Amino acid sequence: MSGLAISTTGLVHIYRAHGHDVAALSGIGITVRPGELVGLLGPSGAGKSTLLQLCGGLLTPSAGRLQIGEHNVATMTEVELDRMRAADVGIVLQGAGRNLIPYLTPTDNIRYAQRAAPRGHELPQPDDVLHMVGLRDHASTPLTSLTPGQIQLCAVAVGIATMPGLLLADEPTSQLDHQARDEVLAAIRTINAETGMTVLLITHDPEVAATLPRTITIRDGRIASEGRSGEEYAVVATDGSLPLPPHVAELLPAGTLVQVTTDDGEIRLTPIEQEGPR
Amino acid sequence: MFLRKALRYRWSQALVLAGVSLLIGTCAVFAPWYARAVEQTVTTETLSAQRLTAAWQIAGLPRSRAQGPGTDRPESLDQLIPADLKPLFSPPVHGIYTDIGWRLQPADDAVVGRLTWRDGYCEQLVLAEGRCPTAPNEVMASTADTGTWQFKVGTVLTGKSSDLADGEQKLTVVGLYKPKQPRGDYWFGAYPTGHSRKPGGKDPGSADFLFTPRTTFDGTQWSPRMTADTAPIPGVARINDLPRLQNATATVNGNAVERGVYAETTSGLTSLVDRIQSERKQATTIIPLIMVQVALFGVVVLALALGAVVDQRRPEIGLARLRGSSARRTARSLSVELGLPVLIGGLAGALGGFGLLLIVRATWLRNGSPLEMPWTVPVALAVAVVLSLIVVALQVRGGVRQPISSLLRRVVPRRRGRAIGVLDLCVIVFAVAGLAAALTGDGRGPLPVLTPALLALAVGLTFAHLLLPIAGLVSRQAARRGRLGLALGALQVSRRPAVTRIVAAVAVAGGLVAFAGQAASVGDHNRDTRAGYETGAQAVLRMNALYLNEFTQAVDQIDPDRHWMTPVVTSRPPAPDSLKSMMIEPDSFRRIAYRGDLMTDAEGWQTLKAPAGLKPIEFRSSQLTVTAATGPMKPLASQTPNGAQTATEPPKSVVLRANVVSLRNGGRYLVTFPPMPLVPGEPVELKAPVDCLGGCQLLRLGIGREPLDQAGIQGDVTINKISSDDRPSITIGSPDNWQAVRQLDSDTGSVTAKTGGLLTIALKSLGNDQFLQYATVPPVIPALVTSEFPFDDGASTSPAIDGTPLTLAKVDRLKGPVDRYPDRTAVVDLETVRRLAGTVDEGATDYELWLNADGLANVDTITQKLSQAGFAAELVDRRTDRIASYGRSASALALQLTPVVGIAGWALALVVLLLTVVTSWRSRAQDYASLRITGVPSNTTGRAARWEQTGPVALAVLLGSLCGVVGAQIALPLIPLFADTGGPIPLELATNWPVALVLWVAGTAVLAAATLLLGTGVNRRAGYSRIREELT
Repeated sequence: MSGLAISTTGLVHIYRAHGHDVAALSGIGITVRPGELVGLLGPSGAGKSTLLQLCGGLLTPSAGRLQIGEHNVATMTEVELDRMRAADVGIVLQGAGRNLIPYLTPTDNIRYAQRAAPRGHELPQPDDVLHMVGLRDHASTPLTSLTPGQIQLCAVAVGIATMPGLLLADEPTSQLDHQARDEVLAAIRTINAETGMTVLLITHDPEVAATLPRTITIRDGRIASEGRSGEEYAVVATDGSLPLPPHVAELLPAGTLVQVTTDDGEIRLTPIEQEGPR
Repeated sequence: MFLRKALRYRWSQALVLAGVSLLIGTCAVFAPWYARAVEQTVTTETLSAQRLTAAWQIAGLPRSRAQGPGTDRPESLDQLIPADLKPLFSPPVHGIYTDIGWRLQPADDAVVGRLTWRDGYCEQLVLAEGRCPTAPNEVMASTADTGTWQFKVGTVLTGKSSDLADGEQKLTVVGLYKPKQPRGDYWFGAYPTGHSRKPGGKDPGSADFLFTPRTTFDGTQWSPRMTADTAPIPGVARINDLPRLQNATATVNGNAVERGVYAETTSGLTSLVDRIQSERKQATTIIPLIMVQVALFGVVVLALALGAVVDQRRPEIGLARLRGSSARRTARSLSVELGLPVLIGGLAGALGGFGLLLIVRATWLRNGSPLEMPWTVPVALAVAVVLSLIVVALQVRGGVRQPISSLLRRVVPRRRGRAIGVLDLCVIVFAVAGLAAALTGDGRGPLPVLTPALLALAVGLTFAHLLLPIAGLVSRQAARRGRLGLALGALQVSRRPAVTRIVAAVAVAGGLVAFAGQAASVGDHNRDTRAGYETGAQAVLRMNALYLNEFTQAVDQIDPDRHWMTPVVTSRPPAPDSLKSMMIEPDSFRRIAYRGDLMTDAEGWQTLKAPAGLKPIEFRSSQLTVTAATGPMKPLASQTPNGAQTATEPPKSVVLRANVVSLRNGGRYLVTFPPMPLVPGEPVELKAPVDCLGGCQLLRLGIGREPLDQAGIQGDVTINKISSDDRPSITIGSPDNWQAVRQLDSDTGSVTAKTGGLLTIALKSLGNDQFLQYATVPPVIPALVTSEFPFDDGASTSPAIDGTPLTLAKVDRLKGPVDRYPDRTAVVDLETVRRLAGTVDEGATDYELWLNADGLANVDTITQKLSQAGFAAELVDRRTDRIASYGRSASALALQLTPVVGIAGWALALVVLLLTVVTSWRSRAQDYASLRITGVPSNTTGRAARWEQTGPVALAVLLGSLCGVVGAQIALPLIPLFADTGGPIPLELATNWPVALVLWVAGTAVLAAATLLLGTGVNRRAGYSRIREELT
């Protein structure tokens, strides 16, 4: 299966916590092309995991549009979401152990993840999947005998057990040493390259982010910036708003009146001095 | 594919689920199995223990009296046993007998005895001498008769039938016998008496049976009776046969007439079957109710266990959903994983129940029931299994239906607020409704009997839900006071809703155990009590006295201080709905009879006693002489019922009469003096013969009339002197000591004593005799009368030993049931009745000696001494026998299950504890490990870990125990402890506090020890490495 595109427009998700509504995502609009490898960055509580769960159909959007391949997630029923996860979307949760059945071997874990795949869906052999992540030699090794890095690789293998079009990985490299981190990252790259699977992964690690061809930074439930090939860009939202990079935002406190002018293709922001207290 | 691995990974959980299901299945199948087995056992044991009552004693009438063709052969009586029931009956024992009068010499008085033949009688007798008779007119005599009649082999008797037949027959003694088993089943009650005594006085004497061959009766004029005795065979006649047996018993005599067999069948089988049927009801009421409580508790525990198990599988459920499994599919696979051990456990429960049945059948039931499969067993098993699987499905459904995002969270999201779950609320409402129904309804239906469990459940759940906020409060206060251990422990309680499961389960267990203890002990106590009241004392000897004086003298000789026994004489009235007299010695009765001192209070005992301080008027003489004179006499006109005066002849005379009591035999005799002409003021000397050379007591003096002189009269008769052969002048005391004997009919006149002469009798006579009674015997006998009898003061009587009515004064101080004779009984003083005397009505009077424990221990000595005094005494009743008999009742057998309930209750509570620990120890250990990292000492976390559950569990045990005790008070009156109501013998259902206390302490100790151990274990595992754990 080739990769699935992701497209969100004005995506909003609101939690109800302690009697208050909290907006985890406030009108996110992103587009990920099929086969792309995209990193989601941002501070804790920015909304990365919420976005990932929305993409995986684990949460339902409060508003906005979310398209995964042919699936309009916002309007799908529970059964349709189940089917989507069974065949088209693989998810790797944060914490490798949480992705695995503790009493099953890597092979059996993959088989377990393949159980719900619809008939007709072409399923890879567990050995092939394990080969793809470099765990073929540990196909029957009990999980308790694997290293943390191998367990994480196993979790990734389970995530791609049905060869989905989209792999969602929540901090797959956290709590790993450098070598293990690189192995996991390499495995994900290999999967992306060999299968054309779209990969959306969350990371806090700048080193990991630096190796990714595209990153999206989320802050306060909005797209803060996007990085491509090492360059950081601000992204204009569909409503025309433009989140400022942090170093610029420090210069322009909230409430500052800014004069926006254009000059030969350049856009200039000029703060205006105000008299008296604002 | 993964099922086996999943089960193997959490084998202990599977084992627990299977174990709880096994218990449920065992309870479910054991209840109907055991109930059925108890029914069969009660049937078998009742038919066995009461073989004579159950027997059919078919007796053909003698040819001469038969209105029909009569019965020539006893075998012809067999046709009265229906063919389809013959396999249920023992082979009939045929017999022929006739009562004859025999004598050794022609001049001798005839002695009444029985000449008899029975099937195989020779095998039932031990030959002391000679041989078994084989030829006609040969007889075998009892060794009991050898001492009395000097029988020996070769003695010839001349016998004549007492059935008015002509002719005599010579009978030759060819052997002397003793019965092998004097009261054996073979005899069907018609056993050789063992009694032998020569005639004397009014005693016609008696002789034991004479056995003879069947041919002796052939062609004679003995007019023999044919008999056929048979009884349902215990163990062959089963519960399902009872209706047919009962029906056949009810119709057998009617069938005999239809068949032209002139015979009567005597059997108590009909009432026996009724009794068995009522015992069946006990079994089918108590056993299911007890076992259903355990089974329901098992289901609750199973639900709690499954809740914990499903909770622990949340990550796996989340993963399955994450990988695209639908909720239904995930639920199905989890249901299979959890349902399999439940199913296996439930089915194994059938085997467990069967095994348990085999054990109780071999022990409690003494193999009294067959192995059978009542239809209720598979049904109960199916219900139990289906119910268990429904619980599995519901718990799995609840777990699987949570949002995936919630399932995937590491920390279980808590419900907002402290809202009580709908299920808990339903349970509480249901339990409270059940309690309300029990308290306000008429107590029918099974709901009130479930009250202990329901009450404990409601209270336990309520307490559990209050516990969380209270624990939070306690935690905060303890923290403020610096008591870190308590603060931590309470905090852990407040943040772990799982504690509610423990608390609820432990409360129910405590309730069940307390209820079981109360049911068992109260049942036991009531069986003991009733056995005591019904026996009357530890044991009762019945004897064959003819004279009251002889009886009391014999008792005085054997036990003058009444250390061992108290005499009780009863006189039965001819009409069954009248009062019987129970004559007792108050002082010894209070000490010897079962709870004798509680029958009345001190005043009651004092009132009952015969008057003291007055010496009886005694004399020895063959004649009594009285000098008396009549005063002026006034004729009285009697009135007809409509008030008209009847015209009569003028009165001519009065007749002085006296009642004297013979000291020789206790008889009361009427002495009638010659008539006194009505000449005022002129003394006359009157003489009357008396049979008082052996001594007599003057009891009454009175005035009668001549038969042809019944005209009404009013006036005085003055007695100036009474003399006898031995006493020239007999002192009869002051007039105050002479009181009128109360007449049942108040319109028959009156009599009073006045001063004047020795005694002046003021008379108002309408023809009847009027008597004054000496004050050694009150004219109205004080009596304690059983409360159910509609006593009519002045009209109600009970028979004296001679059958004459005793006028009673009801002493309204009966405080408890009357021992042994609790219905229609007047308890009077034996000494009073003895003074009143009279010729004993043998047919209506029973002489009993009630023994205490020491007396029972010396019963052989007592019997021997009585025998030496000429009394044949038989031990007819023992309290221990009755206790044992009640111990074999359906109720007792059913309540024997209560210890099982207790054990099951605690076992289930421990299962819940273990399960909660098994499913939560890791997170608890992580919590404590985290605290240790922050510097909390390990002994503080240890204290917190230990008391986290111990406190709530101890409180839950207390609450549960209280609920069990309260519930028992509601439920026990509804449990049929006995097959019959027991009449006035009250049920004593008061709480047995020692038992309740012991069970509470034991339960607290066991569960607290368990929680302390488990808490210590958790704290020991709270190492730093625990925090790094991720794989569950």
